[in-house]
Amino acid sequence: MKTYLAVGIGGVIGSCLRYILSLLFLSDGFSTFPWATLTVNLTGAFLLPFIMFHPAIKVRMHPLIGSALTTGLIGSYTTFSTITVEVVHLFQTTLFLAIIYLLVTIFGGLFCSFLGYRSAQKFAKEEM
Amino acid sequence: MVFHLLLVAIGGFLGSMLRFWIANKLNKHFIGTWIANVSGSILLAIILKLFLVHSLSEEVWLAIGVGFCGAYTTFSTFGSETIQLIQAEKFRTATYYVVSSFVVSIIIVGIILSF
Repeated sequence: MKTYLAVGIGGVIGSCLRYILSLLFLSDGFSTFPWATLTVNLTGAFLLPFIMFHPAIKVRMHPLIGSALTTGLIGSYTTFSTITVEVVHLFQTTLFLAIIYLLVTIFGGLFCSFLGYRSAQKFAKEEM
Repeated sequence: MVFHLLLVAIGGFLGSMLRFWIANKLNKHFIGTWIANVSGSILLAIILKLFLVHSLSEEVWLAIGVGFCGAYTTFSTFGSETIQLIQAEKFRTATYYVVSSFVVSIIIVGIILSF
């Protein structure tokens, strides 16, 4: 039960950060290229595996804080539903941008996740 | 602004907990993420459709669309799980996971938004 609350509180912070960032990008709804979504997703894709696999963070952090930060905060900071809706919306107006957006999200996102994972492992080796 | 943030926060609170609950119910966490991402995309498309035809207020859009659907679905976990599948040399599962997540949700969202 405590873990659920921790995830929920992390979710509040992550969602608000994502919303504030979307306001800063001043993207008026779905009409322009979705820079805000791309930014949260790529940065979040790096941060999640980095925190999850970083040896020092893993050991020193309370499990509740860990769940709040990973599943809650970063999980909610990034989003999937907005991507698919934006892709379909772009598809109806500029097909080229829709394909570019989808490919950059998938391959850029996986690359960022890989980078986060490898950076954390680098710390693991240095600590040993 | 503060009121809008509060609406997003309420949606985000519930969305993240529901995603966590589904992931815990299933043995393989990535199937939980798959379910959350596909069903959240469908819900967001329905909410957007209703919002665009002006039958939904901006408040509902912020709470359910931005807050709930945004937090219920996730991209960071999706990426991290895919990398872990690749590390475990489960290349076929990783490919199916990525392709089916996007193809299934984009097709259904496309159908909903084209009505």
